Amino acid sequence: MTLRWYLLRRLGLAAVTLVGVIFAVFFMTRVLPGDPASVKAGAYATEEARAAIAREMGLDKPVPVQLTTYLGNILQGDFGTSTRSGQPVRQDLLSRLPATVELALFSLMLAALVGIPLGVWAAVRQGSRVDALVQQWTILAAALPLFWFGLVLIYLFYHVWGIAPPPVGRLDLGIPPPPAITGLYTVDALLSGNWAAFRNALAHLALPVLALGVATMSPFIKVARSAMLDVMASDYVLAARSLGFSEREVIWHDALKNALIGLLTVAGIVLGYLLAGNVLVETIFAWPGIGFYAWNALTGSDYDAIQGFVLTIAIIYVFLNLAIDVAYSLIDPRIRLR
Amino acid sequence: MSATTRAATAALGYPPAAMPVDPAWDPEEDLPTAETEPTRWQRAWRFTRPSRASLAVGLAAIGLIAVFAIFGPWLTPYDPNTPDPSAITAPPSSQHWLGTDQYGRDVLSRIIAAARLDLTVAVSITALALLAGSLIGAVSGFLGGRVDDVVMRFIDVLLAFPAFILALGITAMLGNETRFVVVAVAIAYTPYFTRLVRGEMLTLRESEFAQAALCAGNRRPRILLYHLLPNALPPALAQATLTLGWGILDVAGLSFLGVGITPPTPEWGVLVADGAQYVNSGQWWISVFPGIAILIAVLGFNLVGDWLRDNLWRR
Repeated sequence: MTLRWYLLRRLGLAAVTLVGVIFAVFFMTRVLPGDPASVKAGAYATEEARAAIAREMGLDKPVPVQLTTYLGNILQGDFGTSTRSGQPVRQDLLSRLPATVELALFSLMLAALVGIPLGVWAAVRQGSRVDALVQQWTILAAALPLFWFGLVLIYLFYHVWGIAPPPVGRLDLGIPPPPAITGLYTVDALLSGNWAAFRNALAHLALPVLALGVATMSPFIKVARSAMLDVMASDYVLAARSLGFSEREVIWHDALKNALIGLLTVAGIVLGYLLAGNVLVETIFAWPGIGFYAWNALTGSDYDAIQGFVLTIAIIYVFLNLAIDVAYSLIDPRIRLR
Repeated sequence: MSATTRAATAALGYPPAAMPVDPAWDPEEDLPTAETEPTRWQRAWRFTRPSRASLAVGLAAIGLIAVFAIFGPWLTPYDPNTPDPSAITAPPSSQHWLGTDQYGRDVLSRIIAAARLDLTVAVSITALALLAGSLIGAVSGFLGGRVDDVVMRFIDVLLAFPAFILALGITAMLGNETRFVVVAVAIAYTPYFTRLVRGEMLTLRESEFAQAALCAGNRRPRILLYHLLPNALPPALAQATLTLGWGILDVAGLSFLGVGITPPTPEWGVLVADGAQYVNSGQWWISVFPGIAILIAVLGFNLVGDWLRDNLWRR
């Protein structure tokens, strides 16, 4: 299969998945038992109030009509209007996305930069005490409740040691945000040479990034370790060794480069998880991203906002998967042949 | 593999694939007879001397939580829901081992009382997902062709959501009830079982015993249910054990956010949320101890699930 054909096919697949996702969100809310109108109306609403809300939401119309209206709106980029902010949900989400992206990218960097060397280290010393410790750590980290871990970090770093800023938002109250260029405060502060804002933004990032980074480190360690073990047993590593290259050179030059290909997939999956799974962490640190927005929508029964959030996450996932597959096929042409 | 393990496995008569095979060896000659062929479980047990410690730790953790769940009402030192105005946010002491919360309720009692709900919810989620997922996967893999294509496309769509967000969306739309949380999280985990069992089915379908059963005149539904499905289940069981742990994590996370199980019902996520606002002012025990309970439960299921997967999955 040529590269162009592969890309076209993969793009078509993404489109199909996307349509399926939109259908799934629709049916999730309309077909499953339970009544969105009564959720929106609240526990103490009268039957008339509930019926009025159902009419307003179009729930009294036949399902095919509802589906057509829904699809039409989504295709026009209309995710509905938030009852809390009074703004279109799409605008709300877009304005909060950079905060989430910044948190996700820093957490991904921490997880990869610590996780990969740990995995390599464990593989090189297979069967040693280091290996056992690293493996026990991955098992423990996978069982950590993220929301609880975040609270523990706040208690230790903010309350006991007093080295972290208060766990609220992206900057201290007195510091104005840097001019919006990318929306990532650290990058914008660097670009505008605003050191005070840069330092403060980093300080606010530290704890949520630590929480998310530790929680997502395990897959990097596991995959790096097993990929390294495979590669270290391969013929070309044997060849490199027999040619007299030093062990350090063999590990970091010959072996790691090939092990890195598999880690690309891990990075994609982890990034998807970080963009989606941080509702908990954003809530704990009052981080003004889409996760915190979703939590506010949940507590305020902001129906359109929740639905818009779920759909946004799904769209991000579909495109992320597409990007990974394409990147993979560019790096490793063998994939395309399958 | 260590020299001892190799010697031990060789002595048992089951050379692993990596060991050199004697060229003069005739497989027909010493085919294992029916009564000496060890079951998958026996084989798993024999080969896993090194990882038995983690299995033991995992079983101990699950055992502790199970004791809480079964004997909870007799173990709680105080009533989990009765406030004590004289002991509000009391730190851990000899009277209240794990302290009290903002209403003076005993934290240890509430943790023990929550175990039953958390475990019941996790088991219900896993049972639903296992049942639905294996049935869909088995039928899809068995029939193959067009049906299989459509089912798998649908499963891919479900997998396009992160499980937690999917469950969050469904529960938020349906309303804050325990049964809705169970259904929502079960839907999120069904695709994992479907994919797994379907994969097993694809290979089992082509196996000789399936052909033999067909030749013997069995109807296809019977072959599917009695001959193939039982063989596809061991890997699904390993997955189920892992799902028990993930289910607890997800349910606790959802109720921490105020979705699903809501206060004052004692549930581990609710308990952590109860104390969240007190962490900033130093009353750490209200949130920290319930979180450790979650950690122990999830760790237990993960350790046992990993062991089962590593030793039962491989054929």
